[in-house]
Amino acid sequence: MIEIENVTKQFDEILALDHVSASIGENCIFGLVGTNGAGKSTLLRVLAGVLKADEGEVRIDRLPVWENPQAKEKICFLPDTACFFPNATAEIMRDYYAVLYPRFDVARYDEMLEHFGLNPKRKLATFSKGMKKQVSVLLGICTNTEYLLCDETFDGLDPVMRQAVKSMFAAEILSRKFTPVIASHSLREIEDICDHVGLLHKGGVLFAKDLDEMKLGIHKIQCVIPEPLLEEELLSELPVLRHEKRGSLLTVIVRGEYREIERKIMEKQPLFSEILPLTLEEIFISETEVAGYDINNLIF
Amino acid sequence: MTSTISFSKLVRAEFRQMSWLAALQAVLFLLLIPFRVLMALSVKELNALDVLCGSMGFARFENAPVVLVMGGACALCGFSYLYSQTKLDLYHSLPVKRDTLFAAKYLASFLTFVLPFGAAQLLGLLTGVLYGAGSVTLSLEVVVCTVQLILFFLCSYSMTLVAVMLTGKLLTTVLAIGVFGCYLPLLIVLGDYFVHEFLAFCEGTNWLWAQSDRSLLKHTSPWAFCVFWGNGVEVGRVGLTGRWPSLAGLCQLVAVAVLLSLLSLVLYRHRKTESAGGALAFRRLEGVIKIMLAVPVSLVTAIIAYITFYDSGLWELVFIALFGALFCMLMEFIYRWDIRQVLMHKWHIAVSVALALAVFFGFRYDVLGYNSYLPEQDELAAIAVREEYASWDYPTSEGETTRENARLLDYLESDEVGLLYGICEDGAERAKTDGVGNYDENLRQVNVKYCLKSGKEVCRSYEVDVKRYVSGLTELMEQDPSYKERFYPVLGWREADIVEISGTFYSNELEDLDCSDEWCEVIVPAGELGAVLAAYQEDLRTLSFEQIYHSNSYLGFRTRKQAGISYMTDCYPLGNEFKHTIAILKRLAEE
Repeated sequence: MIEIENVTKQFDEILALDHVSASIGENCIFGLVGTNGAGKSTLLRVLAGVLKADEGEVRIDRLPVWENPQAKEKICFLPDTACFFPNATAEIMRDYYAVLYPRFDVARYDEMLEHFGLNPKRKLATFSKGMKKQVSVLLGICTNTEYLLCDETFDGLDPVMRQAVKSMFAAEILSRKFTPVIASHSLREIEDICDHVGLLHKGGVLFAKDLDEMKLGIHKIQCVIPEPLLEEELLSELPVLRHEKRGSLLTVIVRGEYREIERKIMEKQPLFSEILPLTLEEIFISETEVAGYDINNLIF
Repeated sequence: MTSTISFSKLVRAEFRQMSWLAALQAVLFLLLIPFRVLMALSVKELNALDVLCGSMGFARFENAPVVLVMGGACALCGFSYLYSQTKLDLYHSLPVKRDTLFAAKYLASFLTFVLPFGAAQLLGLLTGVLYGAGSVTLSLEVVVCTVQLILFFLCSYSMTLVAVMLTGKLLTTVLAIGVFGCYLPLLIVLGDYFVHEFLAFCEGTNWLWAQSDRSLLKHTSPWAFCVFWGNGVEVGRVGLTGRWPSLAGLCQLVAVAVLLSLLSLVLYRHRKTESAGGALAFRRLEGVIKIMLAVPVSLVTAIIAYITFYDSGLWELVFIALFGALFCMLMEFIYRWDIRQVLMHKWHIAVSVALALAVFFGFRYDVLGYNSYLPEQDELAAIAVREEYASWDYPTSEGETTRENARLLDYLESDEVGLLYGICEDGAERAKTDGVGNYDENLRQVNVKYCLKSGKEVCRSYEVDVKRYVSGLTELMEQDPSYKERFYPVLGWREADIVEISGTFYSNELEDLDCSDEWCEVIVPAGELGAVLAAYQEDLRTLSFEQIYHSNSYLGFRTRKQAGISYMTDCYPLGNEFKHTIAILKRLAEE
């Protein structure tokens, strides 16, 4: 488990992290989302022990991360821009990682390079951005660390590769203790892979929750109620987070128990009614509005 | 190191990343050492051992600059990752402590030098052995020389590391290396200039930076220490190939390397990862460094104005303000890399200019009253006064040139304070009103030593009125004849002490000598030395200091100690009042 306790980090006049507290459980895929400059990369760097927090502490499985090789052996950090040695090949990087990460799986790395069609003897400098990302992800996975900190990892990968990486993460979770923490500025990007999400804004965590838990308490309903008076009654009876009317179609996002909401709608004799799946964006919109933020200014 | 990661494997992995640097150095040192030895040995007429002795070991000291440059280059290459945030993301997220990473990088970079250099030295020696020039002593000297040059490398390497740790990008690192290498030596030169130009400084007439053994200068930077190696205690006996380094010298090198390496480790620990890419790693130092550099630069420009515009206070002020401000702005540009921000810290400019003005004009107008210092008469136990330029030697111990004045003043010390105090008073008053460096024929430069009753000794140099000086010393010599004996050492000589007396006299200066020509030269025959000496001593004892002082000719005495040194002769005053001496010289001139 990663515990982030009251972490603050300031770069000169810029407050990048402002008393951030959160915890990331084991064997889940944690999505760290937020706008550009929200502090996602800074938080990941603090988690990886690259940056020292000005205040607060980060612990991995109860071990403080800063200057602690025992804790850092459990994590591998994949930064936004992959770093390879000048003139290095995928093989050279493998050998270096194998020295630093004792559980590095050399055979699997070679096998996956072949699977992805990456030449292990070709200089990485000649690889495309996406190919470099692939090598970086393969190195990260083959270190066999419990936690993989990915900063904008999917950025630059083609849709097929994106899917392949997601599948690899899922397979890793099934086969061993593995917790990827994926930072991204795009909610849609990580919507279908993360089961836990944390929203970072202006250096602070707005919330960090289980996605299913959030979905259970919020529902999106589309219905057509012919009588305007009944429609008004419905809106006043339900704990509506957001509603919109286009023509005669009423769309409502409501917090509450599904059966109870359905019963109340049926009472108003709708011509049509349906419960739709909520996107991550819609969940955030409603959750953050509750928290007092105008989400439209935060997420695009 | 760590429980799971092998330190040696880490060093090997780091070394592999820098193998290109090792290869480059291998080529360089192979050309510089064994190849050169081979070329020299191929000349068949020469003795192989002589050739080898001239090509290796301490004889090849020109290898030192190459080694120093390599020290800087290896440190820069090994730790260049500190300039890149991307590289730091990789290195600082690895499961190793920063100390371990530092040690691995340090060792790997060091090995890129020591392996090719050691191999080149060995190959050079083996080449000699193949030509039948093997010698145990020579081999030993090559080994010691290798150790010495490796220590040179470590000094330069660790100094560069300190510069790397303090900065965040290559440009500022290079500038910092220059500052570490040259700042203090140049500051000493500058300080020396100020002291000698503006202070009536009588204690050490020699310039500190020009000391023969460079003892002060070479301890101001690792480069200076290596460059001026061989002028002091660091070298010992002469061997086959040159002078061996002394154990003390090697220990000093080790101490410098260890201290600087530890300092760089401490800086590395405290250096923030996010400082990569910035000018300085510790931004709090920005102002201090800027001011520390801007002040000496402003002072140098003030000196240029002082020399160029002949003592113009206005131009000195303008130069300090202008160049001080410009330098601060240049530094700010280096820090921010944005010309719009050069005036970001105006108070840095203000402080730098104010400090430079204070130092320059403080020295120039003797604000602290150094030159016009005059203790109360009743505080004094003794005084010594002597004219700056005497044309004869005093029997003081030799060797330590920097304290020559002080030693002479010790010798001439007198407790007749009242008689000499007037001279000092005149000098101090003149320094207060007119300053120093006034070249006037009615003034004389005198060195003074005050022995205070408290036991303290203070030396000063004054410009005094010549009449005041002469009357003071005349009175003193009349009251205390023993002072005259000390003042003119010739009075204590015997015939056996001198080997030659000679002089060139002009008829318009010594009318009584009756030179037939415009001038005549007299070299006293050996048999007459005693007679001339006795006559001169009698004249000197009889005449007053005033009479002696105004003599316009000189008689040269070469002592037994000065024999064989062509330029050394004690020249004592000779005038028409020296009746006995003139009489003998006249006779000798006629003969």
